[in-house]
Amino acid sequence: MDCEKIERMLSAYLDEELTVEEYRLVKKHLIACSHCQGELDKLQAIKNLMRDLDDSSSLNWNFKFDWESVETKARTIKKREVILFSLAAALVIMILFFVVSQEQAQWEMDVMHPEVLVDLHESLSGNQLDIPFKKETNFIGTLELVSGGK
Amino acid sequence: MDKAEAQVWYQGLSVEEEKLWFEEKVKSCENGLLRFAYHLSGNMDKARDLVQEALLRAYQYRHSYNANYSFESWMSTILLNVHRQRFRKEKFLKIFHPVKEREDGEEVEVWDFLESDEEGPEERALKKEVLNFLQEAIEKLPPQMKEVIVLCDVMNYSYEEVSEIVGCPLGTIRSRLHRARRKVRDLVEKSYGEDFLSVWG
Repeated sequence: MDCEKIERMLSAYLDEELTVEEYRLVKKHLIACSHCQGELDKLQAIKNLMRDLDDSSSLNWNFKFDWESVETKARTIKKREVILFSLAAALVIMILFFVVSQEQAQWEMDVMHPEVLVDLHESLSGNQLDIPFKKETNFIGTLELVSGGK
Repeated sequence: MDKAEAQVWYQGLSVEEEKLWFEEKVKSCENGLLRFAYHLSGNMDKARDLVQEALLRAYQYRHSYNANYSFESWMSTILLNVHRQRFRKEKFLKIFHPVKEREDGEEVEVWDFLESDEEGPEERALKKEVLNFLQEAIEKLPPQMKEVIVLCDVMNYSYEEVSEIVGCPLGTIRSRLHRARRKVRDLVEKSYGEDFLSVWG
């Protein structure tokens, strides 16, 4: 196996995280290759230095978990979530109400169109109505005409 | 692991009992979490803040914890996610300033604790300088490499544990760690010479 492939396995070799087969391959290569052995020594030095960065046995981290603060924040977050959810629900209801009322208005205009009313009257009573239809005739006006009002 | 097994830890517990269980678990790993946060953030105040935030989040989502896995690993995952979110928001990383508070409140340089009776003053000074440089080199690493090298070489987690915490396959962890160590090695050699590490080791 060439040095490039072995080098990529050196860290895992150092940490004993290779498979048995890989470990044997690297070990065999290192016996004969001073370059890769040198690379391994340098990686070991870096690993040792990293360990020195955190010589925790000498340090008192002196950390105390602030439980009260966590509980207070958790309660605040919960309240905020409830408020946001309520607002969102109210908004959805308002939108639905608006959409439905628009649909209702449109339906009334479509179904209760003056011409529809006249057709309905004629089909029910058999009488033809001689109503001068004006474009501006509205729903109430039509009702009055059909019922014999003004 | 199915849902029924994962729910075991809080089944039958009152809210107060859950809180006590959680508190006990946290006590067993709070210093380890602080160390991890410290090496990730490079600053003690930030580290404390990071740990508090992680604990808050863990408490909120405590029911998602699977008791068959290490509590510290689970907490480390949460802490790492909080750090990543903060890192994305922050424009710049602060320069590492190692301090530790003594019981009398006086701040001392943490490097004072790395002294050995066998070392002369010149060796101590060099060691102090090299470790300072090493910390700066780690701060310069891309975030993904920094996370892995801190977890493996500082926190002493296994590759498998790191893979769980970081959320990447083992092969990726292996590759990132190797690249991180090589990058740090290159930076050290650039400043101190190619033979430095051979002699230091």
